[in-house]
Amino acid sequence: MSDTRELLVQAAQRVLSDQGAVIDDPDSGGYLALWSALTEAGMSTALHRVMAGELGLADAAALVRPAAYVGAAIPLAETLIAQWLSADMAGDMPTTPMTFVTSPLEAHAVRGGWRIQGHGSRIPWLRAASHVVVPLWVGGRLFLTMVATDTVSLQRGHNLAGEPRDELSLDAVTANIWPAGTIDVPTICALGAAFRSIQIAGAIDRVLELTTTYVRDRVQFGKPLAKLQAVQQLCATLAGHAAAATASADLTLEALEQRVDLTKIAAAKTRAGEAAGAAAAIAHQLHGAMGVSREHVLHRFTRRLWAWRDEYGNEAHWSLWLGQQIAKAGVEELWPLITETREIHA
Amino acid sequence: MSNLVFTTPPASTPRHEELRKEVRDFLGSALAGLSPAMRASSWFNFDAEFSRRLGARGWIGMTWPSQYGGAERSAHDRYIVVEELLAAGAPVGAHWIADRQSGPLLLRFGSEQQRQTILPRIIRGECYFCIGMSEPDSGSDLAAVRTRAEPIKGGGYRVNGAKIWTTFAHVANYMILFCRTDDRSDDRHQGFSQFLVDLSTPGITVRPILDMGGRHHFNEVVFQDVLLEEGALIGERGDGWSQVTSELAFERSGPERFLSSYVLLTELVRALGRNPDPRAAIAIGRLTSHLIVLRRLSRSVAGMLESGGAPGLQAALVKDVGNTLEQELPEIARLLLNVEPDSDSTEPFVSTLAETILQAPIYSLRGGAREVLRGIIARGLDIR
Repeated sequence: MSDTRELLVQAAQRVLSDQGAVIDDPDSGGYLALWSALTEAGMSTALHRVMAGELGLADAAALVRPAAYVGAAIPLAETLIAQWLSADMAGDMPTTPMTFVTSPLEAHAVRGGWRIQGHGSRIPWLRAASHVVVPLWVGGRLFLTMVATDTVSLQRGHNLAGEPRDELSLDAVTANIWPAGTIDVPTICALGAAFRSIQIAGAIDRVLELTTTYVRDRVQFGKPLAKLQAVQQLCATLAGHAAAATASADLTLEALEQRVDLTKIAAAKTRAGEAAGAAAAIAHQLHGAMGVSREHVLHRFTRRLWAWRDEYGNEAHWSLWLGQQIAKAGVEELWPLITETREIHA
Repeated sequence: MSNLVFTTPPASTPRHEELRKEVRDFLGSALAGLSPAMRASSWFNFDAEFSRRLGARGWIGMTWPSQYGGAERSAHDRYIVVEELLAAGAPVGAHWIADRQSGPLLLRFGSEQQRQTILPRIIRGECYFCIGMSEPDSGSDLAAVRTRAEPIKGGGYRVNGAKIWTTFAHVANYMILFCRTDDRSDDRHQGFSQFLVDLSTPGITVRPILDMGGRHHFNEVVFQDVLLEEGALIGERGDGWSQVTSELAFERSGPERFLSSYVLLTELVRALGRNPDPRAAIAIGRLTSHLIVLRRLSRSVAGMLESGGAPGLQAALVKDVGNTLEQELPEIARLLLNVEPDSDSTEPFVSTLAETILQAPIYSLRGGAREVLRGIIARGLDIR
């Protein structure tokens, strides 16, 4: 990890741990307090530096891991992606929470700009965002626009973890559109997948920590659960998935270093997604009934793992894509792909 | 955050990739006639001629000091050579143990005379080793070893006992013998020593143990009043246990811990062709994703080892996760093509599948049984 990135991550860790308890109700507005804290701590400057191209996308992405570790209910991943997508936008970048849409809407030239009409589904944190970045088809070419959310109508929805996943309906006219350039639709979706993989690693770290702490403390049959070999075996398996998720997150950061590398993102989301389910299952098994209570913190992480593994393409989605690429390229390209000595673009 | 730190693996430079290409080119021609089923059992194939050719290339003992004939290459270079050999299914069995375990052991703990006698021959691909650890009553529980080397008045030792599951004892030149030299004490890890044993020494009997597929790589090795010179002792008397455990991170985290069934994956991809059905494509994509992530973990541990770290926990995790994938692979592959595994088949996928199924049980036994390994991981997690 680069020095800059490490400093950023440490700063984020400090702010997030100062915030103490996990904010569990996205409708309470509590996320705004945490967002302000991040802003006050200079994190919004960090975000600006990302926007200004001083920091890379990977540096920004590294921030979501500590946020996921503490279970911070804030649209950090979404805002960072929205900001990166808006790098070529004319005018000032908001410092408020933002989000983005992956499926392009249609836009037509009208007087005063372009009229955008359409729907978007399962937009993360739409209700909490001040702006939403939307890809557009204009005459067969991909453009991007940023729309203030007070001009959209939304229908509330949520994921398994209770995080907002809202429906968007848009009928607006804007002059503020710009060509997407090298960004294409698969890339936008892959960015979502990439950030979720990193978040999964952060949440699994926490799940492992909660579980090992619990089995050390909880006494049954006159001894800590940790003394039971069956429990030790499960913890070891959980740690294996945590290690795999960590490597998936690191691989993802690497995939965001230069250009967005879909192969690495696909492999990482596949492996991290699998780790998410396995880790959650083991953690709940070892926490017993305690772990499924609303009061216990475990579900704040396991529910997110179950939600995030399916967002922006589940394991089957990305495995299918990768498997088809491999098959098309042929078996001679498989080992070069694994050793990162050749890319496949079938 | 957790103590499960995996540092960024060392970056590959153009020089590394040059080496990789050199190895690939060499293997492309050297292995041209090797059947897929043979490739599937890479480190169970003893081919002295192949080892000598590798030795001539400088790819055995390649990190060792030049005074013993080594090329003083980096661990990263060695990693590249080893993973290319394994992925191609090269018959590395003859020199495998010497290059990976015995040579490094002698370098670290051996006497100058032992090093000078042995290491140059290993490097040339001419000197092969086996490891005498397991015994009939000592499998996972190494401290239960009963083979004993009694000191003889005036110097030297007399060895009595029996080793079992000793891979390639029938073709190896030497054994690293782990045995008791002193009585049991309260600390059951005390009183062990290791010896460099020339297998042509009188009193050593090697008997074959065929595996369930009928192949001969395992042996029973019986020691009956075998006389060893004082110079056969490796390091200090009584240091056997710490010698064995000090190198475990190297043995648990290499590419051999997740590539054992890789040849089957290549035959699967080949057999499925360019347009596999979605179920098959998903399986290929998933297995490849696992391999990419495992390789990253393994290379991360290699980097930590090279920079002097002690990633014992991380190494144990690589082996556990890697062995799981290696064993899962044939179980997934067999359901994607409706065939009956047969070692004699002329269909590469069918014969490779047969070989891999019969070998798979050993993946999670060799180098530490899975359940024992997970106990070690649990200790690393501070819950044991």
